[in-house]
Amino acid sequence: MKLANLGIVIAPFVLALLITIYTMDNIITSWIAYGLWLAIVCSAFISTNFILLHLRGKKISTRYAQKMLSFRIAAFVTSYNEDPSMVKGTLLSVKLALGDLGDVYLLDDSTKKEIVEDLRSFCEKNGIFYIHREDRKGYKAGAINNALKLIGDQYDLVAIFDSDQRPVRTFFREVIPYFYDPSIAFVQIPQRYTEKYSGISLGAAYQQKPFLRVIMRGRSYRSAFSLGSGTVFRINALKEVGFFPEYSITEDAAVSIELHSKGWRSLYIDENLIWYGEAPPDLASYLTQQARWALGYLQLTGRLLKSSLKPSQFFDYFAGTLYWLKEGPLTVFEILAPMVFLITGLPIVRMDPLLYVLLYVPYLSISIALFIYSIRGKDEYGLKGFLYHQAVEYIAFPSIVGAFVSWFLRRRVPFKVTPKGGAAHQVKSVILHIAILALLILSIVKGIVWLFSVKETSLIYSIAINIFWALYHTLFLFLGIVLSLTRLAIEPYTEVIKGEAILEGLKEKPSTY
Amino acid sequence: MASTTLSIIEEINNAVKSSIIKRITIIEEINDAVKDSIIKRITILGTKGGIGKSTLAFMLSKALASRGKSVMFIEGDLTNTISSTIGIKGDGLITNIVDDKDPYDSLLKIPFGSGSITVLKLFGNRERFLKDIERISKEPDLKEKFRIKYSEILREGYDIYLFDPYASCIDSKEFKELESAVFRSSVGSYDETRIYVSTISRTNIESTLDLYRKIENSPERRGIPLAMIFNMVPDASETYVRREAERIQSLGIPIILIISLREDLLAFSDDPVKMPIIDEIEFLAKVILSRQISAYGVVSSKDLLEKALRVGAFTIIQGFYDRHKTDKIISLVKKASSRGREVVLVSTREDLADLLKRTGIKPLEIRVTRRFMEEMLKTSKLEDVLRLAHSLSNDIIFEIQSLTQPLLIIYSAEDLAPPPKNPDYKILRDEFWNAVINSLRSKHDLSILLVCKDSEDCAGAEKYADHRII
Repeated sequence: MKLANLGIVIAPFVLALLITIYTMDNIITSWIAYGLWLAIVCSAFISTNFILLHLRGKKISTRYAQKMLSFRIAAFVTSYNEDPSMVKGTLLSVKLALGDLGDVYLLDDSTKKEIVEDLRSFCEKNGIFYIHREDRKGYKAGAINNALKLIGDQYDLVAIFDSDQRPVRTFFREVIPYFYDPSIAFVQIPQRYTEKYSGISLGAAYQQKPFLRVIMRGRSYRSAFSLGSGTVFRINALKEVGFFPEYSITEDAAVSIELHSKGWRSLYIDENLIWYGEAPPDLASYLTQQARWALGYLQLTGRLLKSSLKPSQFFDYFAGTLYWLKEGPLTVFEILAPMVFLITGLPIVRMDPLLYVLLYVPYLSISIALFIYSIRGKDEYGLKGFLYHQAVEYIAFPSIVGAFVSWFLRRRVPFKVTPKGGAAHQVKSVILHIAILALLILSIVKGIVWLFSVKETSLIYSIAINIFWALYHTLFLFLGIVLSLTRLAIEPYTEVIKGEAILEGLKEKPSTY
Repeated sequence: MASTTLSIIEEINNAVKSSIIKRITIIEEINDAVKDSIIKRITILGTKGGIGKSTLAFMLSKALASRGKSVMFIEGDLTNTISSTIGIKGDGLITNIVDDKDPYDSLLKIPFGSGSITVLKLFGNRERFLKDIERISKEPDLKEKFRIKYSEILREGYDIYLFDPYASCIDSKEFKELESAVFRSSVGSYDETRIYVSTISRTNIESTLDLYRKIENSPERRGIPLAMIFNMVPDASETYVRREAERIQSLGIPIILIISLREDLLAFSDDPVKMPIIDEIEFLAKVILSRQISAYGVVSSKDLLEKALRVGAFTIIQGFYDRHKTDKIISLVKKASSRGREVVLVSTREDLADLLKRTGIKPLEIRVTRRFMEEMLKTSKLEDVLRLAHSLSNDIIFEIQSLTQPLLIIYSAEDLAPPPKNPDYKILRDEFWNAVINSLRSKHDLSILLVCKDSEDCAGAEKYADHRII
């Protein structure tokens, strides 16, 4: 590991520790204080990274005209027990986009016999190669590695699509020219959530925007990582790193670290090249997705620390780790701190409340304003987006904490694909949130009663500040719960008969290995 | 009207005199004079039979009808080729009136393309012709009857009246006057243009020019001359005809069209209905229907294609993406690649690349990215348009820098130009094309071919174009 990278890792923890010691009031609550300060320091780290990436992203020039290159392309669509009609639609979309540039492969790990048969015969009919595995070894990474070995040296590039993300017709023509630079290992395009039929899916879509419009843009040509779908890889680059690592359930980020460590570059082009993409339809699938992403990212920590990434690249990746830390365990401390103070009266941080207000309020408002400003103009986000985004993050935090627990226990949670389709909105899933909400309201009530019983000015400030935070958390938690239970007008899934008709004219190719 | 037309002709004269097929100068006054919506009377004139005058006239009717116009083709040629081919049984309007027969026997409407052609057989057979004309012009009863019937027919409402008169009909001054008077009173406001047809024989050229001077210098003439056509020009005589054409340009004819002798068309010589419409006539039809009539100078498709390949040349190909257009692009591309020149295709689409590949030519494809189009769509400021134009041409230059004198085709230009949502889009387009074309030409030795749907899409670019192929 590089010394500079070590410094980046240690810095927030040490800084938070120093502030904790400096502001310590009560040894019993000092652990909450540390969590709270770490949350603030991590936020500052993440915000700094965000602003830097925003500035960098603005500087990256995009090309307006590019030479088409003739590469042979394999397009992989991965599936596992998903709705076959959705998979078929995606296959046709990929096939149409690919045209005569290469071949489409379905990597089907489905275990349901009827799905396997249905998809196999569909592929045979439509000139799509069908690859099925029984064992699911290595999950998605395993499926891709297996297929890459099967196709041998027939292709130069491999495109990977999830079965719920459909490329536009010009996808390959837009993406391929970027491979003129031999140091480019992969090109990533943004994922898109076009199918948003519930409050939670809308929130999930908003949550993606800062990441896709600012973070990934700024990371282009430096540390942009594969998002697992809508990525086109140079097969030779993958060969060099031994294909996809199977140790992480987010093989996309894992392989990106491997490639970046070897000096390969990656590119993120922020263009709408996906015309159909399903957002997590309901709370359960959203939580599963968030937990999986968090755990997958955490599983990379060891590899990340040992990597020989450049400090700038490392900082970008590590900001990702801090994000999950902040959205999971540290959120617990943020919620806990005002609650404990207002209910038990135990002081957590010793600090001049006025100084706190003077420092923290501008910091908080400036960071929120900058955050919204950075995304402005690139997509519709604004205040509404910010509220939705915060709300879903408050809903996700217990699941992310769960992911941390699994990681500490070295538990590799069974790979569970985000369930797609259907919308089971269960109050059951938000019981924990409702309980926390109740506690927050209780602490606010207690706090207000307390506020009117004290005379000491500094204590009044402290109580007021904590009531503010409790209210802040209450607001977003409440919004989150409402979102989780909101169902928007659900449009039935439409079959892709038109696409099939278009494909009829295409040349039939042998299928199934 | 007459005085403006005169000054227009003078202006054209000056423009054409100073430059032979150099820049295409758009004469705004003519634009205003000839508008698409206004009814047109086109007279096809010639001094000699058998020079393909009727064939071309009818072909022009077809080209206009295929563009949705309802055309009345008035056949005044004594051979009555068209009338008999399409099956008109009557003896001709004049003879029918004299014989007191139903004049509608001499009229037949045939649908063509999205429009229609109504053929009116004007005269009877040769023996009756002179006598009938004499009587119609002299006898008041017949004159009145002709007035009523002819007017009735004209009033049916046509977009274009194409008059193909027999040469000596012009000499029968009385009938000519009668016909024009009835026409004027029946049709009301209309634009009149004349097309002269000649072969390449010295005497024919001279007699046609005499006719031209006689008509165009006559104080009673209405409208303007539109074109002089040299028909059936053998390849060997092309240089000679070109010299003649350039000499004639000083007369101020907007278009001098050189139509090559087409062996393949001779098979259709007896059947003008089935004869395909040649490019040159398509061109003429498009000019007639366009809102602008420019001084094109000497035009021959062959010639334009050749000029487009010159290094440094900038040519515009306009018109809907039909077979004619792609055929022209393909023949140009074939010509260029047979001379070892690289063909570069700048586009947002794949159709032309696919088409070229099918004909065995693999162009270097340069794709204009989505980002470009998105930014262009958002832009309404001139400085942003110019920035985009310069970046686009720089990116194109970057891709072609290693090529020697490539033929650069900018296909589907309408996708690249500033969109028409902006009220100033014409100015923006003008500046955009100016920046793109000049930047490309100044940085690399190449021939540029800009392919666009209609003149609106390439608005502004026309000014800088060395040639335009429609």
